[in-house]
Amino acid sequence: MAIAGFLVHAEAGQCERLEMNLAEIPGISTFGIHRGYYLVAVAEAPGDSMEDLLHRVHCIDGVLAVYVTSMTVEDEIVA
Amino acid sequence: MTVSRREFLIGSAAALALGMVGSAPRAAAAGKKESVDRWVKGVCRYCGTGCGVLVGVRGDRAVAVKGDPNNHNAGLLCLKGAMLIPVIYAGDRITEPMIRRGGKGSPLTKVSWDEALDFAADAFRKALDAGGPDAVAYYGSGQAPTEESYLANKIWKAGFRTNNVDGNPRLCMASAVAGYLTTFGKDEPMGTYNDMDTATCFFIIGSNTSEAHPVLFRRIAQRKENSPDVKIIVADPRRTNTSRIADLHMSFIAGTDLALLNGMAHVIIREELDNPRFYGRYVNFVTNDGKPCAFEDYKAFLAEYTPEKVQEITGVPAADVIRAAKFFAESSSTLSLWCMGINQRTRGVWANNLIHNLHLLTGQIGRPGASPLSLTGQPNACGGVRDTGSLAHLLPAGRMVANEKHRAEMEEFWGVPKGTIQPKIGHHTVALFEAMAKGTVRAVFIHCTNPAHTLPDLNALTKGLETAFVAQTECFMDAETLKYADVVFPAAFWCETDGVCGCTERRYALTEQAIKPMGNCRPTVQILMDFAERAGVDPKLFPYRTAADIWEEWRTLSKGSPYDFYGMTRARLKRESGIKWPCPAEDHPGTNLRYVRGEDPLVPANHPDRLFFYGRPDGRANIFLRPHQPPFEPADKEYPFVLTTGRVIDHWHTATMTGKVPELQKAYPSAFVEINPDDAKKLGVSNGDRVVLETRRDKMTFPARITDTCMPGLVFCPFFDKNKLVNRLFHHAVDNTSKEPEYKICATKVYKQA
Repeated sequence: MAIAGFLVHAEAGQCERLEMNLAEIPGISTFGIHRGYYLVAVAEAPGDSMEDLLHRVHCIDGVLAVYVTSMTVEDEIVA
Repeated sequence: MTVSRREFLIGSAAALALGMVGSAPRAAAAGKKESVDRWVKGVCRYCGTGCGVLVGVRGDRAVAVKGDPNNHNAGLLCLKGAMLIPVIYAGDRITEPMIRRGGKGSPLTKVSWDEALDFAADAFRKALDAGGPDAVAYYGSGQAPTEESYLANKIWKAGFRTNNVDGNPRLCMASAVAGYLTTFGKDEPMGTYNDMDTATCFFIIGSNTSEAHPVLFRRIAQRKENSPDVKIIVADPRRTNTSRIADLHMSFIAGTDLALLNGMAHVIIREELDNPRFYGRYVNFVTNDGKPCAFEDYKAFLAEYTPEKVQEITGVPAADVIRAAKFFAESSSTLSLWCMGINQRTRGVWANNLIHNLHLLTGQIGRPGASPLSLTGQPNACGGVRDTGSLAHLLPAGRMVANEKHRAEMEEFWGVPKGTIQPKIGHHTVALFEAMAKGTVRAVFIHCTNPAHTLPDLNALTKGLETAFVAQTECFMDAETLKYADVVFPAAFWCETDGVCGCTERRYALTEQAIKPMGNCRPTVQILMDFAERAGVDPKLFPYRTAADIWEEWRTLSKGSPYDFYGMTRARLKRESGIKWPCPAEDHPGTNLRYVRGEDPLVPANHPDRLFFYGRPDGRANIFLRPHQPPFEPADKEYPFVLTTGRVIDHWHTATMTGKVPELQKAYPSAFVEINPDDAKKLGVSNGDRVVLETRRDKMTFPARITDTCMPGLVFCPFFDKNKLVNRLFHHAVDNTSKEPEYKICATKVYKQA
């Protein structure tokens, strides 16, 4: 299972709604709103579907950008 | 409390993300061991942003990657960078040397290193015997580490004695190089990414920063979020994601940017927003054919570029031209950013000059936040190719092949007899592949690039690859150029070797070796030296054991030059996360504001002026009187649409890396054509329909994406897809000065497939 930490850069005034949207997506945990426009989140998904998951986040209306801060795939690689 | 490994990893990921926004981690697991054995510092393998990365190694395998918090990216990465690990272990890595025994078209066969190297060396010796030094060539890359490009440049120019050394930077940033050279006398920008944190106006033209340089886009967007009064102007025929944060988006007709830029200058002068005190002291005015002239001549030249006339030419409302000019000139500090939309033009150098003109006319230069900053497409085009002079007309550290003194300096430094380096400039990229097709260049060594995918007018130019002997270093089996390779050398990939990269902002950073090369792969510097010796080059020319030895020579050569980075020892680069040159001494912190007294160590501390453009004989930069000229092949009655190309966020260049990551490939599995809804309606095309693009070179079919990203009359295709080589549709006209092809504009028919 891959685990990615990421920031969601939200358009002005969209953070609260986006936090609720993200909470509904299986595999995503949120860790609060910061500076009024960043959502901190972690995604868990099989390596070959992580991009789909992050792309889905990127396509939500009100998301300006998604910045990945870390990606761990050690379970899949080591195995 | 017990914490499972999974919980620990989730907590770590959240903590790192929180750290990026300066918040205290509140969910991180504590008291657990690191998830990897060690973190090894490096630079992302992809774009010219040059993000710092840390590669996590467990045992002998790379298992994780994260952003380097100490580099300019402050720990952030885009999706591509974050997914580099699976690229290393892609199933089609080339791990054994191969040759094509039966000539072109026959299968590649795995052989020993000795056999492969002898095979290539023999072909080069035969080419040299038959055609002399200029019968061989090197075609390099802005992705190769600096040590590799420096070494290849030396081997070919001083060893084989040919200046047929060029590379893919010719295709992406040669116009930016010539723009800086003609305006300021020396290549490379004077500003840095730091300017993004202080600029109060951004002028982004010909750059889809949000997709091509996402981490820099974050910095710009954050600046806007923190200071809503900051103005952002985006000038781009396409309405990309970048324009979503813009105060003003000017969607101009492709190929009319020269008129737009002159129109802004016209308004600046008309509204008395120019800065006579600045340009009176620091600027010369120069006619289009290089003759000195006066400000009044420039003003007269601009007279015809009224906002109304510019509207006629560009399609941008006159009021927006005026607004843009005022934003630019009235801001306390304006930062211009541009990329391939400006460079990949038959008048790319002029377009670069005209951007510089705006800064020099208004004095928006040489202060924090005020600078013209050309964005780079590849991780080491700046440091590896531009600075080492690994192009057909250049020698290291700003020297020119055509300059006798410069050749003599390099011959002395390299310890070769006077007259070794030929005075004749070598073939630029398009000319090189034409010469290969004609048979005058008989053998080429291609390193770390994929020209059979990226050259313009592919049907014409790949004939060179069909004709000449091709030796190639490559990591992945699906690179299009492999189809033409006679010998393939498996090169160590990215963090399997060590090397320095120099990114957009003059920042040099070291990627350290994190893991051993896969299979039978070898570091490219070893491949180059072994090959050259077998091909007859005197090994005294390359007395190196490691890439670090080559860096030491290059560092020494830079001393006292306008590219001085003597202070960047290998040990220091290992300690620090990138340093910006000029950096003449080990205790020098690096330079943010080039050409500025008190900031740039190459400007004497007692210089009478605050700014000193030391690349110019009189220390003054040039404002050029460059007129608007149309592109090489504008739309016409027969071919009524303009085709343009570019990137998408999840792929990089020819997707030989990003295409290996299923997660990235699934986001954009294949190329498409963007069509404006109004055009689609007229053409009877719906989303997903098969649409034919037919140009004077070829025709191809793409699925349609109906979107208002493109203005009416414009269609866009990404170029990553090896199954749809869109460059087959393009001409290969080049800029007169930079010799960079015009990938951004060709005329095309568009119709629904029958």
